[in-house]
Amino acid sequence: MKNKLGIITILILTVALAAGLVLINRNQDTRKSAHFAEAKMYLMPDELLFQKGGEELVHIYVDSGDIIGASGTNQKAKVQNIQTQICFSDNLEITGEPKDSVNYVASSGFEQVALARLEDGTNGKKCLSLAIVSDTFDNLKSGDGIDVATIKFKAVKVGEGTISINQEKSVISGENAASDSDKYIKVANVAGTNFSVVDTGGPEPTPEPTSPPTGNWPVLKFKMAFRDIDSGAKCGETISKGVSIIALGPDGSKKEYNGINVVRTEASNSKGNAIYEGMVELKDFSFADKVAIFVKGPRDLQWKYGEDKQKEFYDKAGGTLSGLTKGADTKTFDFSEFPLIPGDVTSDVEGVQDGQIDGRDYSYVKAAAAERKTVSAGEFLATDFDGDCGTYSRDINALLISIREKQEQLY
Amino acid sequence: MNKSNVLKYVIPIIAVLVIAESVYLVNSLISSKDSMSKVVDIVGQDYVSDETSEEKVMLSVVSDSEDYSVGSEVTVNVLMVSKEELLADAINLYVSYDPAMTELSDLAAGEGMPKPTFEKISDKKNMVVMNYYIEDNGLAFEPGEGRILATFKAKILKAGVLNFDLSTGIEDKDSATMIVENSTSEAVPFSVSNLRVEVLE
Repeated sequence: MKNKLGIITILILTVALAAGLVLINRNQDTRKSAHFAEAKMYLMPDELLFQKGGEELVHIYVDSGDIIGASGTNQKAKVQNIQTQICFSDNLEITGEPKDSVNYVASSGFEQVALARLEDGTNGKKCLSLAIVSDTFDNLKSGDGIDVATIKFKAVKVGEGTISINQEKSVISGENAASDSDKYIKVANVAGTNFSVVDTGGPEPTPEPTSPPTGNWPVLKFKMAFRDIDSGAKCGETISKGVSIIALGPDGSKKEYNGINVVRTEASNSKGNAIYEGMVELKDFSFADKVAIFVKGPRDLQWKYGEDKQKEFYDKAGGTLSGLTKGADTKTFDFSEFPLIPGDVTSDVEGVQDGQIDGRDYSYVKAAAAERKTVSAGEFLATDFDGDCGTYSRDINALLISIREKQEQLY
Repeated sequence: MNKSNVLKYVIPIIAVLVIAESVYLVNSLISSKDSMSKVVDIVGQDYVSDETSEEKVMLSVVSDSEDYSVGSEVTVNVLMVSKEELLADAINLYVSYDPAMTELSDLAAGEGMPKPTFEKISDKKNMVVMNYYIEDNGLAFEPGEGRILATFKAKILKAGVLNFDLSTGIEDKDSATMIVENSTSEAVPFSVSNLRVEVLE
């Protein structure tokens, strides 16, 4: 009898042990986490080009992340308050009272800037400590791309730098439908903004005369074309606002040169477009090899040229333009077989380019064509793409061709 | 067999049963999520293009399908409702999607819409693109009138969250949804309601 009881006891213990092992192998972790969601905080745009003396807005965004352990609907955490520290190099500054440069986004549920304090950071950087809060639970947002606040920066020194988020000093709290006590959202990822400050010498660039190079910097000589302008175009002899050029070095550094004069020659490219010639001394740019340049016209999209005699869209990183010298006898690069395309004439600010050709440009040109806007021979009209001194249906068609070409590249 | 001997056998048997039952119950609780039937949640996400002005147009990504099971094909529409009389010169639509979750096909303009200037399901940018550039006086919308701007089919490939979001240009400025008014050549303020479907096994 005692043997039987012993066997039964062993069996019970074996079963209990097996049951315990089964349970251990399943996820039994039901303890409350220190945070109920993990968020990403980031700045947009992620790349910014400032004109020296100019001001730009940077947005703070939050992707609020999934509520840990939640399933079904409303699984993203709602964001109520954020605290963070934004640091930036001395190329930029916050003008006036910090609070005047920071605006909360009411449509995301935020109600006040509770803290905006400028402090000294490391390596000569300045840091802006911020608290953006909501006193109520009205209109709180969840999900990706929550626009929290904007910060206005002014560019004071030419150069490059970053605007970064100090992750250690970033905290988010939010509404947790699953718990009255767990309100902490961990900032698991941050991303900042890279910026360049360029000196344009003024907001309205005028073409530079082709002055002799100083001999101190590499000189770029180039040929280019505009897709709809041929050698007989009455309003195409000169491009009155010139073109903008950004030189890109092999280390990723950029320098921008505006109002570069280009002169029409008698020659044409294989498509019948007039070939223009230009030259610019790349001041403060120290590279002569493995260079790429970006060229933008006063009504044209910016194209990247990474190789001599380029004939199509250049979609590689960096560039292969080499052999630039410091004198006027430098090599001439020929980009005329890949002409600039017109259509970028306006944006949310009337008459100001934004680097896109979209519905606003179309409507703007259409309205100009309806008015049949004209200028005298030799003058510049932004909505005249073929240099015939007027805006007509041909210019609308040219813009639509540009849109299709750009969209095919992008998509 | 006396009473105490009976207890010596019965108690261990009951103990085994209790342990077995406990294991079964705990396992059932833990795995209850896995055994749920297919559940679908549709959640709209709001966006307003201009915080300072009242919206003139409401854009929604919608689907009237009742079956979002893995392997099924649903029709997704982009619906526009104008709150006031509007003549649109241009409508640029960009709807992002996750190619791991869905395979798209049959992109077409909605009924009564002009021929698009550019239309594409782009696997390069995971974006549905539909651009209208309208001639003459623009495309007329009456107050409260709803019109399908674009329609496409989506085959659901796997369980997970299926998003169709109207891209607003914040993250990718090339893909900015906008409606441009004929009279001002400016983009009109609009709100967005996106489509989010949670597909469970």
